[in-house]
Amino acid sequence: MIAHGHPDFNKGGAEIAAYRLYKELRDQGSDAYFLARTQLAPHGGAAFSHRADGREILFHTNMDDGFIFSNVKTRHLWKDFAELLSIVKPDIVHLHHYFLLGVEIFQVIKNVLPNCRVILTLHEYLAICHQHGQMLKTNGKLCYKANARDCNRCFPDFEPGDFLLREHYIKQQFAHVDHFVSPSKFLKQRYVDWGLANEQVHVIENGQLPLDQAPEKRPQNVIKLGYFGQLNPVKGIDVLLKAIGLLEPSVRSKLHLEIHGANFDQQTSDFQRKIKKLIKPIKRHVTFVGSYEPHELTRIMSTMHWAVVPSTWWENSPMVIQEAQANHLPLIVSDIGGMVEKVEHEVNGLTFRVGSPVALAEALTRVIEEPELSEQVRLNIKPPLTIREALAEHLPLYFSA
Amino acid sequence: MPKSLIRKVLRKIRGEKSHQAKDAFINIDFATSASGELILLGWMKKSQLSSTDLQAFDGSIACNAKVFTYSRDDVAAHFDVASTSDVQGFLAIINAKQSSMDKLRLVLGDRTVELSKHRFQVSRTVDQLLNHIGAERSSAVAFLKKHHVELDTAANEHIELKSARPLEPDVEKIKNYVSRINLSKSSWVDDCQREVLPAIQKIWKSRQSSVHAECLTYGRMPENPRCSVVVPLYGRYDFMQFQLSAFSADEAMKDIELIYVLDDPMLDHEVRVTAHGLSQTFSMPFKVVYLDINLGFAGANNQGAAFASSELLLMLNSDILPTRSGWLTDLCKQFDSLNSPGILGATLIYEDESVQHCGMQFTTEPNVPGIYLNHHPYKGVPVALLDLPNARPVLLTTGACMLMRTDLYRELGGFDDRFVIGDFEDSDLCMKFAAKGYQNYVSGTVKLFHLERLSQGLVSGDNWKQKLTFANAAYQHQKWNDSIDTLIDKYDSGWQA
Repeated sequence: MIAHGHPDFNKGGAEIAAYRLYKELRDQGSDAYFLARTQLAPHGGAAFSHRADGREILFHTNMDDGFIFSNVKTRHLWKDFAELLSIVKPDIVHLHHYFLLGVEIFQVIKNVLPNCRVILTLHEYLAICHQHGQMLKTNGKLCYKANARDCNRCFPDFEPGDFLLREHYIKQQFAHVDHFVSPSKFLKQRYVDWGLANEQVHVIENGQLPLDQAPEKRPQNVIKLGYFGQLNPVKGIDVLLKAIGLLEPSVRSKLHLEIHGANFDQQTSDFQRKIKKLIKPIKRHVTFVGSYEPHELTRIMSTMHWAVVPSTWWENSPMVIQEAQANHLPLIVSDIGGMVEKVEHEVNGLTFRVGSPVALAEALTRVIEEPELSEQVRLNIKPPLTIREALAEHLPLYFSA
Repeated sequence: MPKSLIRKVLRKIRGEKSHQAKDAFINIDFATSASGELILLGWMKKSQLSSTDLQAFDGSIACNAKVFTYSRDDVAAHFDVASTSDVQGFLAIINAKQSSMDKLRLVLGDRTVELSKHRFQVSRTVDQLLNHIGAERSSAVAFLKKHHVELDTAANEHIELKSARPLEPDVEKIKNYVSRINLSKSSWVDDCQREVLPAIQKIWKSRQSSVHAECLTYGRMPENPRCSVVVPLYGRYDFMQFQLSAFSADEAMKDIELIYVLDDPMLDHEVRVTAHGLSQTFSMPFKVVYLDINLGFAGANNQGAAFASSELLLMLNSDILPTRSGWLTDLCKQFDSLNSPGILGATLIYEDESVQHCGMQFTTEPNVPGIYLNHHPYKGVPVALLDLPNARPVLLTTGACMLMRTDLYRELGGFDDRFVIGDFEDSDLCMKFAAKGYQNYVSGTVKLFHLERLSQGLVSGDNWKQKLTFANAAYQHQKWNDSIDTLIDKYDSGWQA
């Protein structure tokens, strides 16, 4: 199992999904290893270091070209990683990324172990889109399809021809992957439209761990909303704060938002200033809690009526949606991409027009004026895939002929 | 910093020492911009060096420069300094505005470097630039974070960086000569042929004869290659990576002898590192011919062709990418099937699948009377709209992709290197084949991407490079004169409906 980060250091959804799958494999007695790329300093020029029990290994490497995710100038992939492969001799390599590791990693695996089965889980639109794989234009508008000339308009430093080169190069490296896994149908469709074979991409949700904490009680006098996850510009926290600002004061007084978000201090100062400015007039209704550990979620979510996912990009399979559904917490989400795949309007949650504070304010007004709505849709929430079920769905990809 | 480059820089310093001994030296290797700041990476030398010695000025106003230093033992080792305290690598954050980029100077002791006149590589992101720091990378990252520089810069304010490529003395002389051409004079062609051409061709020819070529082989070359492919590299050496990846995935490229020619000595070190990594990653074997001076299109191709060992020779540009596997086998088969073929070209398309080239024609332009210029018919038309013949008999096909017999290429003397820097050597070679009775063709069945840059608007009339193009056209005219029209009548039949 290979990831672009170890969850001990990087708490991204992809890293956690990879690590959980690895842990589950080990629990079920598999001869599995976990290799995670790290930016920590190595021992004097070493490519690897040891994390735990001889099976968790950190890979100290970096790309030399962030445009095509290339890593050929150092010996890390074609020599150090190749040597590690010939020691471990895996039958199956399941990668949860190539970002930071180098996209030539698939080629190197097949160079060393021609019969090794290579699986890649796609976690966002990175191969398709240079804008952090978000398919969100640099002017903030949603992007429906990559096109060399349009990409050049987002990134004038790169020629249209450069985007063709990028696409061809990444596809040539992807040719060494036997199966792709997509955690959402939406993401799969984007990759199939881009050129991957439909039958080669399998939709398997990221598996969830069993709940391990006793729930607490929800308050009676206010409707409590939760925002979870990174606080960065594409997560739409600004849309949520604006929506609360638009509410009638009498409505707003019955609402409280808890922000459980990480990495706010790492955002640009412009963004920080903007968010602080939006919070100021409604600060009585907003609590900034900070980051949380995964095991605290059940307790935190059990005190809430709704979770809000106001992302302004497509998303893939946001962890917070699954975590909320595992905890039977209804969701209010933007009506696009990977979010509407899991939340159906007025069935198991509510959706609103992406990026529109007015539409979200209407939804919020509704949940306050109709407090029974939360209980109604809660009954329709289906628990997400467990990690054990997720692994069972992977097994045919690992072992089938 | 490549060793060869350090040596070159050292030679420069030592050369200077004889008449104007300066103590300090600044070298900028890489530059990028992030968070609205200019970020430079390089090394500096000065006796009793301290990190606060390096300063930046916008004209005469001091800019706030924050400097991180790290050890550069490799550079220190090349100087005769016992202590490394005299030489350090630096990472500088400079608060510079776009408008001041032309006036920006770095000052260290008795040394001043104007950024606009310095050659450096532009890194696309800070992260990419940091990769060149080595062991002290993490300290450099901490330094940048401390000064609020975002490592991921895609959404940040951006300063456009242009690395100066100072003209070499030869080219500077050529520029001065061609600047004398006065297109508004009706006698400009005669004047050019009499006064300009002999002078610039003399400079260019003597350069060609002084080159040293070193050929390195990467991987195991095929024993009896079906075709030798010569690809010159200038500036964008990353094209090599895209081609090698594409060729490696194509079974039909297994018996091809691929020869890159690095016609850009400044990139020598980067290309050596990259070529090694690529050969360890991809299966396609290749050679690289390293030239110690820049020869231009004709000279570089001729140098590469000298190492070709198969019967067929393909001259290919580095910004060409196949649209499908098996393309070269098909092109070779088509060549074998044609009647007395000279050069077989390919249909070239842009990334949007519009025509870049499906054959060339001579054209005259009223603003430059008296010469033929090369014209690409149907340029920009969606290729799907054209009913391309399997092989169009033409007089001219572009130098970006030319398949021919190696022995004939050599017999005809290859590309004429009196075309200075590059232009018209392709049409000239086509005419050499035609004059010997061979018919040139353009394949309509083999289509390749040709990723030419977007044009940067109309070039102004006094641009010296455009004048050089006209001078080369005047040379072609002088060389072929009236026989051009005879050749057109006889060999350019493929354009009739």
